[in-house]
Amino acid sequence: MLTLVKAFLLCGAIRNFINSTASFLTTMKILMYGWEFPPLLSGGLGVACHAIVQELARKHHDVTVVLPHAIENFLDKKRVSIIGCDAITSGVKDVPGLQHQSWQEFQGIQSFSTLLSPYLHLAGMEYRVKINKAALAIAAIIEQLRLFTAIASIDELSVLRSTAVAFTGQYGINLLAEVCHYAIVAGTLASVVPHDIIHAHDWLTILAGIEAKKRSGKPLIFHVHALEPDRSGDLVDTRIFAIEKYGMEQADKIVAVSEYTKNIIVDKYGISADKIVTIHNGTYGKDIVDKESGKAWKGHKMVLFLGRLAQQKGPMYFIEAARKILAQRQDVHFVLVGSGGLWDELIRRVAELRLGKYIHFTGFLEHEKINHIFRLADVYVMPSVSEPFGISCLEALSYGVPVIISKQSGVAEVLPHVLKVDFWDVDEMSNKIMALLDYVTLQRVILQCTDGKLKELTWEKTATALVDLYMQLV
Amino acid sequence: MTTNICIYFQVHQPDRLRKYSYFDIGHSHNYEDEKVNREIFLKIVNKCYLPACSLLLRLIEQYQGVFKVAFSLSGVFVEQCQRFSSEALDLFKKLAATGCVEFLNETYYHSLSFLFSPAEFTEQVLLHKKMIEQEFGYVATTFRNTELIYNNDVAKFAESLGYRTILAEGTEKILGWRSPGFVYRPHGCQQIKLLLRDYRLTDDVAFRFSDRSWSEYPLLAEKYAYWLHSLHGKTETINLFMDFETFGEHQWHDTGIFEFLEKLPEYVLKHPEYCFATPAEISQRLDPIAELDVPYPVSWADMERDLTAWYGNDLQRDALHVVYALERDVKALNDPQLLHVWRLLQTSDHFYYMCIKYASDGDVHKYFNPYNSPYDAYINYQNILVDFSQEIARKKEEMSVVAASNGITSLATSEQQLQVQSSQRCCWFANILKQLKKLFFEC
Repeated sequence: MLTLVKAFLLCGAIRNFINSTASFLTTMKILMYGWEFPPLLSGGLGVACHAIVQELARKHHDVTVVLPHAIENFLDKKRVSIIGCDAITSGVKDVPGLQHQSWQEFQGIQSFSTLLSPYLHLAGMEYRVKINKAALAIAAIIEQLRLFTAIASIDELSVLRSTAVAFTGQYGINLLAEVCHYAIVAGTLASVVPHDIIHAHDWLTILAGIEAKKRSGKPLIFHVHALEPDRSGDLVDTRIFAIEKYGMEQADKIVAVSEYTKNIIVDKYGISADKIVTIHNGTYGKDIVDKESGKAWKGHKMVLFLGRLAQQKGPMYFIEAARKILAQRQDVHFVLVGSGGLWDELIRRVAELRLGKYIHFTGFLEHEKINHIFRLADVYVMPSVSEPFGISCLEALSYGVPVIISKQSGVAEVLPHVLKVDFWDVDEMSNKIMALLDYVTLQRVILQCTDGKLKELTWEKTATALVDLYMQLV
Repeated sequence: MTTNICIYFQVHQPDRLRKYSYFDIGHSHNYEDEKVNREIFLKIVNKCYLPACSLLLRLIEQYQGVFKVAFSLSGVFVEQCQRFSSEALDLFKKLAATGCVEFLNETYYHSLSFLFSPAEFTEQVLLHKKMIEQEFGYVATTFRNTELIYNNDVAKFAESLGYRTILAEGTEKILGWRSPGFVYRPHGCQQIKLLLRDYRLTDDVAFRFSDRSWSEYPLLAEKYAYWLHSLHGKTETINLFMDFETFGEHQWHDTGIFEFLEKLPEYVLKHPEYCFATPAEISQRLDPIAELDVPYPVSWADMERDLTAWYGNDLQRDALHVVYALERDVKALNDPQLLHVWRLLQTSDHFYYMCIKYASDGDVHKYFNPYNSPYDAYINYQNILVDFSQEIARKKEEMSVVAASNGITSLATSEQQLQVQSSQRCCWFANILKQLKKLFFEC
């Protein structure tokens, strides 16, 4: 009996060895469609994309990253080539059905926003007439290219058409225009860039991926970092939702960043669970540097929030928890790092509560400043309403900052030893913040227990899982 | 050679703490969750205590003194009986009255006090002794420490308090190659005898009974009795020490656990050399076969069978040290209510909930744990301790103020007395003068 077990284990070991050697020896060519990329970052998408590309390069795979804009980057130039769509003009004329005149109109739009933000909030902005015309042109192109066949079936096209005339202002029409432009241009690159597999990140690039798949016939992976229901709850932008759903149906495999996201895909998009693979994000893990907690404000403690000031991230719950705590004691300060649509509203609320002395807004910070802020923090809170993963939480832990995270997040499923709350439960949130500030033993034990887990959650592991998936599809 | 079957049941329910947040500190001094305590207690009364105790009474009557068992009821449990269900308490009293049931002593509050304060430990044991004598009219001679925590020092202490028998876990850690089927003499003791739990045979009933993936499932009384019989000649006593909630709560009624217990005496007694005995009887009948040296504490908890279920991580250590550090101040206040509250905070369950060992996996700890995570348990407990410490400090302050003001009033009284005395003296002098004057003018 024992020998049978041993033999079985040996076979398994041999199989694993062969697989890892195979993946080690095989150099794959990956065509990756990204949107955000360092140093131009807006959220976790760019960080994840960059880390994955870097790790794939380390595993000796060749990656071609297609972005909206070419940027200077310090990745391994031998293995990674970055192509910016704004540099491509030559191949575009070959696209069937694309009329030169409307392409000129297209070019006009391209000069609009340089820092593309998938989270553009354009409430109340006025658009000029030129955009209207351009939007009409785009709708025409799309119809001609038949990119949105599935969307047309649910009458999205008429919505698109109508928005050309009457604005919603919710997601700027130029964002969708950019996405379409990107889809056309980046998709054509599949004819010229040699690749074994296509990997598209989020709804912004999936159309490009689908176009690429049509051209080369290679397998397509749709990597889902965030979904419309996360960003907007039940009031989804139906166009983006439609693009996400279309992408999920067309892709060969879907990668979700957490079981939480996988469940949303199954529940809300009606995709079969077999098609979805959960591969968690990771962290680079730093050695815990000297903490400077208590040095920020004359020995007072600091509680940190870091994220977009948007509904999804729950900064309003953070402020309410701060209010509860500051009613009892004033030796704690609260810092919100990040910018976003709720900026005005939150600042007004803080002023209304007369707590401006204790609650601080830094706006968007660069990488070095963020490192510094983490070193000053005593507690990090992530009260997200719906968070597909939550890389910032791992970063905080790698800086030795204990965290309190929302139960409605992906990272909660990989960290058993952190404090979790429901995002709306302000009472419990403030209770836990106070406990972390006052009970030193609690902090120490939590950090000790998560240390081991952090060492497991690396980008290298993410990349390994991705490569295994590629091998299955190729 | 007769083989004894020694069955002992542990009965305990903790006073569970309510959700106590940081913001309750200083405002609410009510720590118990009476509602939950009542709900759980009544549920277990119906599922376990009533049917199991009734069954035992029937069996005792049926076998007319041949079937015997032992119980240990924690003080906290008995108090809950008094509050929530006198029916359960009456059944235990009836069991006591049969004369076939032995009651043991333990710490009243089911605490870990032996590890922190011998004085407190002694007081709790004496409290328990008194309670058992009052409620059940039973003078105990057998002792078991909370969760069978045992080492040489516990045995010595029990011996010094007059107990003749002590129970412990028959783990290989202390037995080595030896069998738990014999009586042992604790190292360093002269009189007291040690009985060790046969955990394999006990856990067959307590844990594996309803496990369908177990190779021996289903466990019928006949089969189990056969296993017991097959040890004949190799053991003198088979000690089956288990949680009473096995019957109806851990193993539900529909697993057939009650039928198992009902049939067990019949099948066991089929062997002429087998009998049931209580720990005290075994201690009287049998002599120790060897000395057993247990320098480090063992217990019956978890796979490790040591203290790590309650004292394994920093959260637990911190909480335990804080609560026991309050001993001197609490006792100085001479307030029975506060003393009771402090002692309830010592119940081992509170620290059991803070165990991190199995935080990621579902298991026994999670089954019992009302908290979502050990950290929640710790936070809740610490918040309560902070409020309690503040209350103690406040009362201490009050007491010293009162003492000081008592000193001033006595001072005032003596001043008044002096004034009265001096006025009295004045009167007397004035009288003398008057009389002298009278005398003078009359002459």
